[in-house]
Amino acid sequence: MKKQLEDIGLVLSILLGVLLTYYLVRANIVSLTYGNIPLANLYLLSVPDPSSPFTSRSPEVVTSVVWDQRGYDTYFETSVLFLAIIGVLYAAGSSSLVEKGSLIATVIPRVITKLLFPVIIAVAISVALHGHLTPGGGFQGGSIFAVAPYMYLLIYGRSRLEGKGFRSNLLLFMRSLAVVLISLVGSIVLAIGFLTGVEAFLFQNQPKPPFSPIGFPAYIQLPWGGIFLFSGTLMILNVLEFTAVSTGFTLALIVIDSIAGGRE
Amino acid sequence: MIETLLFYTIVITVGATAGVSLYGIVVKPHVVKKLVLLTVLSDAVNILVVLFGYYSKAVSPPVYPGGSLEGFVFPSSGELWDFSSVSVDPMPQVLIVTAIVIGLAELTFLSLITFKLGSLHKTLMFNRMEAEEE
Amino acid sequence: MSPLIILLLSAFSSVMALVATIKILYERDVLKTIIISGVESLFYSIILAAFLAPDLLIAYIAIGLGLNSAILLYALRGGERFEEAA
Repeated sequence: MKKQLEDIGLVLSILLGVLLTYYLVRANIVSLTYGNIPLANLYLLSVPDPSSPFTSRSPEVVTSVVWDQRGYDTYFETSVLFLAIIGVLYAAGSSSLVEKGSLIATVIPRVITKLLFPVIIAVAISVALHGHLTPGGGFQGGSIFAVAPYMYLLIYGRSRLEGKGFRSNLLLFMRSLAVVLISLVGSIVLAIGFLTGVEAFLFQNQPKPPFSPIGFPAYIQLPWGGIFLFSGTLMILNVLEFTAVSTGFTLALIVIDSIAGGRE
Repeated sequence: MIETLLFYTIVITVGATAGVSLYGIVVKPHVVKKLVLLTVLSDAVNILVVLFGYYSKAVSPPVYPGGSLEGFVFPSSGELWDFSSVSVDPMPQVLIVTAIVIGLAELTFLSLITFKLGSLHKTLMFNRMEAEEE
Repeated sequence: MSPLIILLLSAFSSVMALVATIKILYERDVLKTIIISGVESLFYSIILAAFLAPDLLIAYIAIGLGLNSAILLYALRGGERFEEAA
């Protein structure tokens, strides 16, 4: 009897899922013939176009909406991330970070880890640094980066990882510094606007001509002729978010591995 | 015609996956299986939201091609009109980038709590965990 | 419209994702369900790639395929691995 009940429940849940999605299809939210809705066109047309008031002078619409148009909201999502990691540290607080028996893995994983460690870090940094130009950004780069020390931690154990520079207090300090700097960068333009009596917004990136004339510069004229395009706050916030996410996840993984790792 | 059929099967199956994982979270007693199904549910819903932004004429992601650190030839409004008529809607993707990363942070927290819960109650079966009598 | 083959691939992977979820539901060995959830993340990253979301694809591969299943394994150390049909 119990088995049939479970099967019936399963079929009902599938029907529920299908019903919900069918409603989405009927309500034209998920549809193929529908072109871009006006909101999408607003962002797609205005972000890369330097002449529009909502520009952030960056070809990458997703990252510029994450950090420029929606920067205040992303800041609180970063603080949610911050609190989740603080929760991990707090929950693990009672049992000390004891060093489990360092059972060194066989030679093959060790060699692969030694080879892959710099590669993963290089990929992560390049994804984070090019966040405002190509798909990528602080969040993606940080989560890629967290794989490298974790792999190193599994193979070589925590003491070798700490030897390599990933000490817990350093990670925690870098993390808090990055989140503080993110809020600083977000409120610099507002502070300047407040001091000089000009209208400005929180997490403002480029000057918005009719509303507020001040803002971050979009690129620097390099002495040897070229320009270095960093689209105002986008690259700076991407780099800071990269440090925040990577140090946060590395710290959380180190802590959870030492608590629940248990290599007797 | 076949494309629309395929697209709607994708949407319906992802919705069904969300329904099944929701059912599993409620019914299954093992706490870690609830966590696994929670991850599946959040991924299915993220994928569903990404599908909101897709439409038949979309061929390019919401990134204007040709950007590089050396400099970027900013497009004229004409080119932008062609770009916005073939590009996918950026808004769902913006919301889901942070959702995925926060999903991992939340999962780390949940799995540490589950580990402590399990070692405290000596079992991970939800129906066998008795509350302590004060 | 993206070529038919990409749609076929993503339709196949979404059906396989549904099958994997049902398999997770009925599987007694929770360790195996964690591995299946990793495989399911692969199917979802195929869908993400097919529907023009490279930002999410980069984040999702590192998180869904890699760290999600690794972290779930730590949760499993707290108690027994097999789920009795209580």
